[in-house]
Amino acid sequence: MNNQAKPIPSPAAATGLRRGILGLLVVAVFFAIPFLGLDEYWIYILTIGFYYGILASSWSLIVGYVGRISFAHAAMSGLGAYGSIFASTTFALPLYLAIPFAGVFTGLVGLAIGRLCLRLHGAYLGLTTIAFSEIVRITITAEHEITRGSLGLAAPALFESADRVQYYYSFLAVLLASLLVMWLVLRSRIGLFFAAIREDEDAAASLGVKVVRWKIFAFTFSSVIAGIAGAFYAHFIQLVAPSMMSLQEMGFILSMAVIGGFQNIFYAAMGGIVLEVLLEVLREIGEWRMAIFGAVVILVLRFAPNGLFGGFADYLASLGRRS
Amino acid sequence: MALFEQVVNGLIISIFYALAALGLSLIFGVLKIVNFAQGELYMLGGFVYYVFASLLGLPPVAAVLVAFAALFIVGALVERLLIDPIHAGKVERVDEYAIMITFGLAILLQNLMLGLFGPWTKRPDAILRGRVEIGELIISGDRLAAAGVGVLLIIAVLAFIRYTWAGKAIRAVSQDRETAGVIGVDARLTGMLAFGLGGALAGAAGALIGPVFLVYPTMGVIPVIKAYVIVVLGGLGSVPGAILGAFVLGQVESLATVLIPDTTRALAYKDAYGLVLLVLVLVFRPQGLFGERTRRA
Amino acid sequence: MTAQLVAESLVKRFGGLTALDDVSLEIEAGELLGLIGPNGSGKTTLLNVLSGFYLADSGTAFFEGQKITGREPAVLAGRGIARTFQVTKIFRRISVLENLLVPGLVDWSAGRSTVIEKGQEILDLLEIGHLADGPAAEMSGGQAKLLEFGRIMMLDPKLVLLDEPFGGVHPMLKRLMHDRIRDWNGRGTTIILISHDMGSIFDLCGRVMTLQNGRVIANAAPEQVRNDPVVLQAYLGTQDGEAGRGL
Ligand SMILES: Nc1ncnc2c1ncn2[C@@H]1O[C@H](COP(=O)(O)OP(=O)(O)O)[C@@H](O)[C@H]1O
Ligand SMILES: [Mg+2]
Repeated sequence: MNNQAKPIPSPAAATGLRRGILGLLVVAVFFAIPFLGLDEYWIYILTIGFYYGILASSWSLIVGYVGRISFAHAAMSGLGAYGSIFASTTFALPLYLAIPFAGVFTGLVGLAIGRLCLRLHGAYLGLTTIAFSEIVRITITAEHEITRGSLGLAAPALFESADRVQYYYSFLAVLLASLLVMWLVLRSRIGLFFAAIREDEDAAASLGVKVVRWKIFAFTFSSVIAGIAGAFYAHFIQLVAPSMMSLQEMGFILSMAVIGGFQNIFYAAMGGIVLEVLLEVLREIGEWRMAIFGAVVILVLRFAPNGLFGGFADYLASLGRRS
Repeated sequence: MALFEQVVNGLIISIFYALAALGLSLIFGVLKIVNFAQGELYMLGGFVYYVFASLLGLPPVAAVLVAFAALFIVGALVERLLIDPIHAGKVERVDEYAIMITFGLAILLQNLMLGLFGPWTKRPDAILRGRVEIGELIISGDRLAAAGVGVLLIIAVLAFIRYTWAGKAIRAVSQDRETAGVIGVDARLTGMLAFGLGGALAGAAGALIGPVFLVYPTMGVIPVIKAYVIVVLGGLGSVPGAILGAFVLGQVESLATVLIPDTTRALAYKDAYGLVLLVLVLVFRPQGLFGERTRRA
Repeated sequence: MTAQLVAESLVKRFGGLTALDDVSLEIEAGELLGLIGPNGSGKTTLLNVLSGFYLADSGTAFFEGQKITGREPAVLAGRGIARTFQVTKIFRRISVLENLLVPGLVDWSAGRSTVIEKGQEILDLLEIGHLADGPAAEMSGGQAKLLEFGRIMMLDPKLVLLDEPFGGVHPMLKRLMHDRIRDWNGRGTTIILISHDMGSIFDLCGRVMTLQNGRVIANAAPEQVRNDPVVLQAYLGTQDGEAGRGL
């Protein structure tokens, strides 16, 4: 039989190792950045970039791994933000309880939506999640007596001091923690079940994969992460408005994930950080930025479905194979 | 009399809705994809109309036709460049691809126009100005004219689909792409035609409604969501269903507004009723309110 | 003792069309039953009902004395009912070996390394072991059919439902598949085999059931079915009755 221990590491393992080292390097750079004497403003922008990194990667968990579209991700983040604000102000919970509460709350909403949308695919699922997202946004805008409508709601700050670096490291930690949890789930057998569902739901079911359970799990899991991200974000910028649940915002998350590479949570996260930074760098050209991103989304989907980072990594791997 | 006026106004709104939704349904029928950039094609129609009617001084009706033609070309190009690769087997995950790429197109078009024209609203010249009095009924001329031309356009499209050879091809491919190919219909060309027509309808809708509700880069965002609701109510891909769905939505919105006593809240929720309907229909009756359940995969 | 699989008066309708019209059957453990019938006679539909993909409009089916109609496919897979698909459904964008890990890891008590070992053994047995690390999408049609075989072998099923496993398969591979099916059956696995390939059916099956328009029109030993005028009529009679010899 040819399943004896292989003396030479397979090329997949070698590139895996190389990617791991590269990943650690990137993380090290992000840890070092506050020591490089960067302007506070860029620390602030990078912090927001981490927030988008969490959203883009948890969105690609559904889209890239389970193969289901969702347009409700921005709304989930918004629910987390509002949930945490209510928990911490109306119910006077300390933030270390309010934020997890927000995660549980969005998780429950995600569970309900996942349960309802179970049988829907493709465009039907896209439309249903758009509808959910808009219903949430409209409701929060309409109930202005509680939410102050589109004026937005003030949120208590995460830290007493306004030290940007503190926020920077907190968000970096949340991003890394959520990537780690997602990675652990995805490399377990659950990740394989996701792939089976993505590739062929009927075949997966015929082989004993509990398709319903795992689809709902994926939707709930990704919602919890979005909710926690939203909660942290609320206590960072300290003012939350329904516009954070708009479809424009959703388009932004989609662009980040697609351009970074939505078939891989790490590339999607990088897409979030890089696009947020680019948005600031290109501030001078105004709306043209998003026009460019839209065009890049189209080109990437059409010609480089693994995204810019995925495509780059594939290119590096092919170089390694040749040498 | 006030009630009658309400009914007529509701009817006019429904015609606008139908106009916006028809193209979406046509495209879904043939290509089985929802064009998430349909609202932006509608917006482009509004801008083409604005440029030709207000800046270049073309007669309004002619400018509507220009918008129709221009968006036909845009739609056909979008199909050939972005959607056709699906059928050429160049795309791996068809469903997600079509959704994301049209969504990306929406982002591109909206911000392109923001870059070119800025966020400000424009009021292009209407086909008719002032008010029209029919007995005691007073309707603003721009709405009446837009609705009138809209009805003509809807009838023309229905007739086109019903009686022309190209229309028969559209119906054939809508029913069964493969069988249509067997009987000699060029499915790729038909797809391009359907997307072109769908774009043209959106463009004409934007041109007609532009003078009433103003022209600006995000003008398509809300109408397209109404259009989603309508095509889902009528059964995705069904053209008559879309027209029926438009009237259902018009009625539901005006009725539901009456049901909530607090007027500011009622108004704020106005756009949500249709969405709730959409969710209910998709979750419990995905073939639409009027459609028949079809064969699965 | 009752039969392993019992179906009683199954009916399945699609709109006005009755795809299964009062179908009953009994299969003993270890049998190898052929299921034949013209296109559209309801073979795949029967298989879909037995594996939980379709809900029967009426009638019940029991497997080892327990009701299986109305249960989810995944639950039935857990009870030992495995199936393949007429149009091959492999997981294209994961590796060939990973395709086998999916059913292997469904059992939470199974460790990854044991499952990998078992998967590799099965792939070797099917003579596609050398493809294990490659993406499944790069397999030929016949190899994909073998992969589907391999996937359900991972489940150690008690009842195997095969829907046209030889469609578009190279004769060499077909012989290999025959051997696997015989092996399997020899070790006590019950098999229902749908095929248009009469040679395979008559070679392999101990009993052949014929469907026409959703009804069972014959259920007997292969040699009897081969000469059954009703079956010949069903296959070829409607167009040109005289061509029946070809069977
Ligand atoms: N999901 C479905 N929806 C509607 N009709 C179906 C469906 N599945 C099968 N049918 C119809 O049921 C009949 C039997 O089909 P099938 O079981 O696939 O036949 P076979 O496998 O014997 O060729 C055919 O007329 C087919 O068109
Ligand atoms: Mg069949």
